[in-house]
Amino acid sequence: MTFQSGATSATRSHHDMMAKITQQKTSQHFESVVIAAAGAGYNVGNILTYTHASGALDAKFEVMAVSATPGPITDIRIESGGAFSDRVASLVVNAGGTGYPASSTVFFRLTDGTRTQDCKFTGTTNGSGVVTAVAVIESGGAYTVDPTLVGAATAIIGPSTATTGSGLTVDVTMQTITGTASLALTGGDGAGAQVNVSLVATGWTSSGNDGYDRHDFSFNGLDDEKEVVMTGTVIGGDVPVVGYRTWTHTSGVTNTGIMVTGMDTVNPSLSLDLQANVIPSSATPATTGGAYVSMLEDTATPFWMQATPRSSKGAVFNDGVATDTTLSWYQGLGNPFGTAIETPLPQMCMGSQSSIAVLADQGGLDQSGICEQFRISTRTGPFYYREPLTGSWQQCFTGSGTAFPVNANTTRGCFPFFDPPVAVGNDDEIVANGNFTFFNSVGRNTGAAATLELRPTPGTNQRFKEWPVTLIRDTEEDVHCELESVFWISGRKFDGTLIDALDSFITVSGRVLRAFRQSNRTEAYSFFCIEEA
Amino acid sequence: MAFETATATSIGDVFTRLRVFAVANGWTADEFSADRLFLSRVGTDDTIAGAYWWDSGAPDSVGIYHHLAYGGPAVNPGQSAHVDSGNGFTQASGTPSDAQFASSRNVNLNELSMRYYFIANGDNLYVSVERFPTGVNQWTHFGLGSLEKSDDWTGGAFAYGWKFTSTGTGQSAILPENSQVLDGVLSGAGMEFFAATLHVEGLEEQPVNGKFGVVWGSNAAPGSDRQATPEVREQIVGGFRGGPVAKAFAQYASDSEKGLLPLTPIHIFHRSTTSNHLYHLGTMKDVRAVNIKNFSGAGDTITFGGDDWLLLPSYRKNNSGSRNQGLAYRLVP
Repeated sequence: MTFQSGATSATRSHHDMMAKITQQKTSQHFESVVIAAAGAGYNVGNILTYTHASGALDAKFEVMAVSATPGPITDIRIESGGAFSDRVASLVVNAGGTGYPASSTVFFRLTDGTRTQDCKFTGTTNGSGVVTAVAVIESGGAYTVDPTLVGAATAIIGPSTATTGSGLTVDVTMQTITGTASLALTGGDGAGAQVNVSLVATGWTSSGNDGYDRHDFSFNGLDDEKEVVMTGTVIGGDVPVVGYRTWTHTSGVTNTGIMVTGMDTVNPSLSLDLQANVIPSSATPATTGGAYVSMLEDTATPFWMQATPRSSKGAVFNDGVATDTTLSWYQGLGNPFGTAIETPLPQMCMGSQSSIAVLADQGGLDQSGICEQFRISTRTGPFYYREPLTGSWQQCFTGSGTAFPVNANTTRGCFPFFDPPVAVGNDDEIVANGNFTFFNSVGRNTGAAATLELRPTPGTNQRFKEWPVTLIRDTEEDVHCELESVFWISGRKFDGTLIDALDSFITVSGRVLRAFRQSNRTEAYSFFCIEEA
Repeated sequence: MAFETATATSIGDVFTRLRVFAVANGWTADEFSADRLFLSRVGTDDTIAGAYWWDSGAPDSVGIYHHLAYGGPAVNPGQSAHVDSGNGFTQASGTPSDAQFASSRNVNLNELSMRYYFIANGDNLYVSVERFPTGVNQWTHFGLGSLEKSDDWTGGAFAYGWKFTSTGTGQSAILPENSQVLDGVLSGAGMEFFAATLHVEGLEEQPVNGKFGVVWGSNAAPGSDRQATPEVREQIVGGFRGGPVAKAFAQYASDSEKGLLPLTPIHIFHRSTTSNHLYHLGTMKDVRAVNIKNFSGAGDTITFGGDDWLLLPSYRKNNSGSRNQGLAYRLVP
């Protein structure tokens, strides 16, 4: 399990978010830490950074205890696991090939080496369609066995208009992955801190037969939108296969974001919409359905994301003009009920909105979150569950229209927001209807406060009680699975104030949970947590 | 051995055997005679103390009492010397009649031949008795124990009796006049004094010298305990049949994908009646709510994760009984 916080670039921020999701999932991360040198001058709460040329994402550490204030560190934890690997540091043209689009920038990838992510690069062509210069983009791939270093073969991965050309080979210079001992940390109030760490593969692959990472999706007049498919890791069971497309939508205002998808298997020679049992079936960003996360155009966007070999989830914060929104996603397997075996595939695909026309800072009923799961009844999505017995993707949601929880027309949703109807008039009528819930049927359109508000536990710890977000289906009496590492909490502190909408974390039995609001909600019941590593 | 089952021939026989079993599993029998048994235990989080009291001349209903401590011999159960929770019929001298015991928290054990199940798990002493009235089995449940607390608030010890009114036509399982284990659905006029009680201190709005909460679902202000200076009790909700967890999971019989069923934890909350704040207090340990649709209803044992669980009806499995409502107890060797 690895957690990462940070911010995207300010240019094509949705593309950068997509790149970072891929980097986190296909790289290695820091799994454990011990203090190698305590340094001096630190304070509790300091965030220290480890930067290395092999890191697509920096690792970050939080000072948990010091022996003096300020002083040497006595306890430290990993806040962000980083993303490290052997990577391609640079390339030069070996043979420029022929037939490529003239006077253009073309996207390429290296085709060999043992890797979890391809090295991607751009090639600039002359007027004759020969590549004359190349440059690594994003992070240089993630390798465990180096590609060919002299005259490495290549393949086109975008834009969509680049359909001709062959023969480009390159010479490769590699960057070796970071060591794990006596790593010097920077930042905070002090100096001299060093740590020893362990490196663990996060467990996803976007290359070879298990996925791809391309810049050839054409949409809304752009020919280089990103399209990525990744396969997770499960021992002894079906593996999750997830996909993404970036998109831009223009209707007066330009809206950008990421589309999240799921599928049964991947064929790298096909586009996303042709993958086996892909959801949504067209895999084309639309205003009528799907699972999306909108992001403000060309804006450095704070993000948080967590990945295990089975699932990935995260949130972005849109600091908008109209309103602020925290939009979330979840892809991959849930924790299945009653067994550790993943067969058949209990996969979920969830975004925060079901239309690309919904602006990143719009809020309201058009946007929700992976815990709240409120949907617009006139559109499909954005919360899908792959039914293991039939393989069909089904919608799940906790409310629709203006009120929630609504149990009249929902059959599948996530506890605790989902309030299933109790059996009436048969032998399963064994629990009381009308007893309290955490929300007591509040009206979603008004954002009314719950009539009963859950508070932290009484006692000296005043714990936030975390409730696993659990998918259930009332018509078939199924408890499907939990969303891995996702919990509902009441956001009300013991003193009656709300937890901070950003950068809040709570500690429960030694586990750190990062709290978020759902979309632009402000009610105490509209928070959820993602577990940090 | 923390689990025992056998037949008993009278109420006195049940409690004679319970005394032996409890002492063997770390409880103290503070007092035992022909019509009463006091038990106590210094638990991990709280001291659990209670008593059982019956009319030995015409045994039928057994009063269930929850104390904070054993107040000494020659003091009837439910008296302030024991710092009593307020439920279960009491009087300062003499023994109440069987009808008086039946008018407050009790368990009805009115048969000459019964099968009992004693389950001791740490600080919990759960009892279930299967009665054999002519032709039809009925189940009762009562016990003493301590919550698995979600924080270090003062308290945790509880006692519960059993109350079941059969309508004979269904819906008996969800009647607000019924109560098993800790059950926040019990409500209605006069029902408060049949409810389970929980030792709680220092909760929001609780009087400084308050010691108890009553587990029931009414919004009416709870009555008082039976301390030397009585204090108002707190409202404790959730439980076996109520609250968001029971409603979400406890009605499900089996999973259509894998044929599994949930053993639903029994979550307990404090509801502050003035502020409408809800506080999670903890869960009952080693007992779960379960739908016994696919079980015999005569007492089944299932094994998973290395643990054996005994599945029993809350009253009787059928339409005129408690339908598919059941309790699952973890058995500790």
